[in-house]
Amino acid sequence: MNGEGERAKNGSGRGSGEKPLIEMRKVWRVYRSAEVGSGEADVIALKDIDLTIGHGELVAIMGASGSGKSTLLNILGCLDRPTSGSYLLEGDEVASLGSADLARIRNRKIGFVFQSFHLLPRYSALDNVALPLVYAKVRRSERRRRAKVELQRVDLESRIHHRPNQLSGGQSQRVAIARALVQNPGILLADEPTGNLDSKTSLEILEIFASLNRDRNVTVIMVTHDPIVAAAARRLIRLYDGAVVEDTKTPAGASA
Amino acid sequence: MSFLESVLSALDALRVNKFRTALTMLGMVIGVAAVIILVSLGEGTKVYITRQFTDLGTNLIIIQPGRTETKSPLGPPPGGATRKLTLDDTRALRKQGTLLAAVTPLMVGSGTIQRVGRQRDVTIIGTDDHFTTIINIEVGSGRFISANEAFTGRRVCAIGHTIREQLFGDESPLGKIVRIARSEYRVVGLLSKKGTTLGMDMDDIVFIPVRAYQKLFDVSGLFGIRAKARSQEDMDAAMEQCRKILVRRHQGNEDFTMISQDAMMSTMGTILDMLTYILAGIAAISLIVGGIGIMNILLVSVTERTREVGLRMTVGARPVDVLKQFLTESVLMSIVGGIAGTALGLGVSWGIGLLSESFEPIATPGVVVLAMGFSLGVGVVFGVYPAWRAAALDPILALRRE
Repeated sequence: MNGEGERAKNGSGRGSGEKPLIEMRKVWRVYRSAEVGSGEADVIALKDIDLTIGHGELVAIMGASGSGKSTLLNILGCLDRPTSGSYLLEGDEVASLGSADLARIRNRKIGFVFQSFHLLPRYSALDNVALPLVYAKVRRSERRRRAKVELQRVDLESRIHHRPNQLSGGQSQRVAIARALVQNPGILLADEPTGNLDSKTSLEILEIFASLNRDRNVTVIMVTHDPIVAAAARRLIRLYDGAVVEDTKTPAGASA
Repeated sequence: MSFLESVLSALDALRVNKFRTALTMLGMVIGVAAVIILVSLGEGTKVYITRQFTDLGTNLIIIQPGRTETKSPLGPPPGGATRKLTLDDTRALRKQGTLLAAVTPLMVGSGTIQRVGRQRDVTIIGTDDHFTTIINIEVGSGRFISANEAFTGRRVCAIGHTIREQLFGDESPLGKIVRIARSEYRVVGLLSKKGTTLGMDMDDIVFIPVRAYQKLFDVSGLFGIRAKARSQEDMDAAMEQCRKILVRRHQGNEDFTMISQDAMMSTMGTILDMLTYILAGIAAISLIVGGIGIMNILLVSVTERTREVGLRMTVGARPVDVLKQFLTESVLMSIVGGIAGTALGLGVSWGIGLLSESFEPIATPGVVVLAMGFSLGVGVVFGVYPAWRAAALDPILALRRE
């Protein structure tokens, strides 16, 4: 399969590199009152976070609402920048990059899966999956080929021409996973990936994550409320009030 | 994303709200059509009036007595008593004016023409045999005034088509006697039907010998002289020659005014061009209004598609990619509107041409290019702000928008 060759090309030393995949040092994220738009005081979302995540980890981030886990995920996903501190992604500083550079990093290195799927309603499953390739300037025929391969991997080859409104929740999330992986990123960020799914479908999705992590060596980072999801991870990071209060191996991790 | 793909993607987005897109484009359609129709009406008018001028005759030089002195604010130079133009001037021009094909004296007035109880107020022109060489009128039957008659003042006349109808009905007028003012004239010629040229009914004129006119109205000078240059190329030289001959005869005073037909036409053309531009400018305002419509709809569209923009940015769209996406939609609407408007404008212009016999609107390629270019510009200008708004969205907030 072509995917193997591509991964060898861009995933230089994935899983065995000397540098950690993600390295955060003294990361603060403060929402200035002007930025928030209210007359209130500044809001500290993340306080002095030090966090290292290696290649091939399967991590769950938990915490109550307002604990800063979404902010952390946004910064990890290069959708937001720390107010201060350093964020090295594969050894490169990304904390001070501009929005165009961050867009390129998101496009190549990070896949996103959301609670509400975020599929474009006008597009077929195939076109939704191919969307990141559009911004990587991949030729149309090549985009379709790679999107099809990715949809086959999540067992949706029979649904490639369906629109999102013709898909079930589980199918939609599988399309979203295919989209997240079509560029062969090293990191998959999932924000409450099972939040809109029933428990049986949730387990299917978690199984896909586990197999991606196991078979394609993708680093999976999930933000969740759900203990079942957290239990599927090998490492659990718990946030409280913008700070890491717990960072442990889960039973799954310990047994692995 | 390639250019073609951007266009296809924009088409896709615009198709979602077909009715809304169509209404938005209608603004551009009407604007472009209005520009094209108004400008082609203006062009058509110019051509129509030019044709009227050339219908009268070509390479025409108009000489009128008196000098419009625009150079000096103190009026005419002292000592330069204004002389009339005379028949002798006409003869001198004819003799010495080597660059002139014809020279004719002209008297113009109005009076009554009568025949056994029927009468009609008409224009009376006193002239000579050169008149028909200079002015395009044709003698239908009989003949025009001869050179000999012109200078002896024999009482003969040539009448226009309308006069014949009114005074003679179906009867032949040739050889009949009519009364013009106080004297009797024999009709020697009937002119062919000509119609109205530059607001003058050419069929309601009676022509008499110039000397007869002078006697009839007891005047010595001429209303003016009309000359025709040998060719278009000789025009300037011919005018200069006329000027020299007349100045010499008038003791060094240039107490007359010469206008070439070309100068009159170009003055007329300038005025008509100005009117056309004013009309086009007014029509262009509707194009701007159309542009505001596009901007309005795009702003709505950006709001509606905030989540889509957020998702696209999340998976790797740079701000400039988002900018391009919305700008493409805007330009597409304005260009498609522009093409439809051009078709409508050309269609209406063509339709007006079909309805009118003598007048035809003329849509030049220039105006089509101008209108299309303007609509493209409107699309870019009014697309920039909504596109910039979309590109400036924060992907996190955009994704969270319901």
